[in-house]
Amino acid sequence: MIDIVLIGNFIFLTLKNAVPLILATTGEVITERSGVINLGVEGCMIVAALVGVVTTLLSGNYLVGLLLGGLVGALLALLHGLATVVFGANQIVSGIATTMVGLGITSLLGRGYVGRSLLGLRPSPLYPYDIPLPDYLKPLASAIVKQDVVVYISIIIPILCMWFLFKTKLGGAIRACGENPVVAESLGVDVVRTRLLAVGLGGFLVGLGGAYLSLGIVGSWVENITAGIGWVAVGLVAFSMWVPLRALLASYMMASLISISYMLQGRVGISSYFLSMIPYIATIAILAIVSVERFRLRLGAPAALGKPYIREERLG
Amino acid sequence: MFRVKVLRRYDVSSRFKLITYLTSFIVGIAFFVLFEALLGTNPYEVVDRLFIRPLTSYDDFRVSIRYTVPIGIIASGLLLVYRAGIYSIGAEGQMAVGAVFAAWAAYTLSLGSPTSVLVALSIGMLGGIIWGLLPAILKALLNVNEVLTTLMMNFIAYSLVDYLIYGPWRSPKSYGFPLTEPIPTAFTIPTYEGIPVINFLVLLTVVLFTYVVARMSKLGFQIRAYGLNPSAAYASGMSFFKVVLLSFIISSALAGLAGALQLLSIHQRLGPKSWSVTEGLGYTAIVAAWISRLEPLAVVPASLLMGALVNGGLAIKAVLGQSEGVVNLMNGMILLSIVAAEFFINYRLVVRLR
Repeated sequence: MIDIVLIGNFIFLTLKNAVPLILATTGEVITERSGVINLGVEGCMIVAALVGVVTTLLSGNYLVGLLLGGLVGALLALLHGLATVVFGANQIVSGIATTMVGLGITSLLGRGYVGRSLLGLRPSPLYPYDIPLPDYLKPLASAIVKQDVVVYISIIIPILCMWFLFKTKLGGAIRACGENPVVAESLGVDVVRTRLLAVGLGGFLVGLGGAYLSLGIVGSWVENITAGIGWVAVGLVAFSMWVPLRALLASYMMASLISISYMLQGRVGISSYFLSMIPYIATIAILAIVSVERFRLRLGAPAALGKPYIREERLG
Repeated sequence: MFRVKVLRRYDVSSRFKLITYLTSFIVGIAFFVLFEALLGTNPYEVVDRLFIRPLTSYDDFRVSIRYTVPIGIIASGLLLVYRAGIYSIGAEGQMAVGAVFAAWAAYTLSLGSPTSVLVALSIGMLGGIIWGLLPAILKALLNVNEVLTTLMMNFIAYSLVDYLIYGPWRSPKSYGFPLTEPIPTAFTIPTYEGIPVINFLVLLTVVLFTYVVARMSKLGFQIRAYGLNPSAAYASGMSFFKVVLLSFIISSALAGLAGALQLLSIHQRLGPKSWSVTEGLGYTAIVAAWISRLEPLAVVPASLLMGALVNGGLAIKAVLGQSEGVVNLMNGMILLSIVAAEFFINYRLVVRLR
């Protein structure tokens, strides 16, 4: 006998847990399309998660918390952008440093906010009414309909990013910088400015995802709230082959695994410490699978990914 | 209007390099102190804890050395992989598993004093290698991104330690705290006046070992070749598989060794965060490796420095009631400014009026 309530619960959790992953992965796709790897995703997310909670507590408004979370996500990403795009620093080391800064700052500043619950401020569902359906279908329908607005917005954002990256002039410029910055520059694209824009825009989406983590999922600030979700998102970027719509798909896959590992806790004879390893093990597996695929299909990362570009001039 | 031109530098003197790196290091620390000042901390107190006390107070020095040893041992291994252009950040997890393996040896084997320690240290190294092996093989065979896989292994290692200390290894005598039993005395490494002298000697041996590997061995040459120009190294017939696997194995064995040493001499039991054997030193070692400019011998001053800074950071945390994040923040600021400093060594800016 399949338990319909359990399935409804699973769908509800998966849709919710996918939001930070979708936003962060899509944001990182945009950044990496410009040729910059931002390994500071984890740091950007956690800073945004804290700022989201603090500003929501101060203003009483979720929208303020989400947007300001996105904004600080963008700011921290731009710190990485300053080091890597302007100063041509090693992108991997700089990204790791950015994450350290983010984890450190939030741990220092977040102390006074630990455990201050936001339950009274939860966003209202899109469809708060009873659904005229037979009883056995109600849990499924309400799992989909009774989500907060951000869940639906998070589905639209990758579609918008698809259009932005592949149909607009700016999106084309970003991709050109990621494939060959020298050619892009000769075609009149300002590589430094375009890359910074991509880093900032990506950081904003990553920040939104981080803010949703604390505001939408946990409902309060917890130290080390991200617990590696940002790194998982970076892994999903490779799996999505740098295509936003595939990022959406990859995020739902990972979110369903995370939801399963939640729901199994206490239900099966496996220690919760082992269940909590599932997303990390899955990320390693995904990275291994995608590497095999990449060799077979010759699908690749943006050609100039990770390579600094500095416009030199000669004296004269 | 201004116009800033970026010009490439040629033949940079090593004195200029040194000055630039030192300046960038100071800039990183300055940002940290500034941030602390914004939080309301007396900046003099911060500088005092970070620099003045570790150099002037014997007690502070004794504690700093406890951090210096694992940082230095791990950084020695990391610089080998970094020289090959492989960005492993898995030392934290390898260190944790090294400690777990060493603890297992201490709890299950009954051996006499000098052998017991050697056996436990070897088993700890084995634990580190096992933890580093999966990312190493994935990188060597499929070129899977090692930054992510090593980091995931760190999270898995944390969960493993939590499972053990909350589950089967939890001591019934620890007053409800998730701590394991103290290891048998036959397995402990003695310290002198609180200074882990033996561990420090191990560090010096490790530094010499990595110096020989990096500078004098064929493997060290191949590592450098892959780091500088992978396609040329590949074309000249050097095995990518061998270089990745061997450098990874050495670095994860050293991380495991560091974990085992910390367990046997300092902590003598496993515990949760803030009593953990690793204390985040696997991440601090990354900073030390980059401060040393991936030069084996420079690891000694770099790890002495980072050991003192970690000690100072933790003192700030304890005295001023701040959180663990102090060390993370400091590490991040230093690392960010020293990688950005590379720019000023390779380029110079010319500002002109137009």
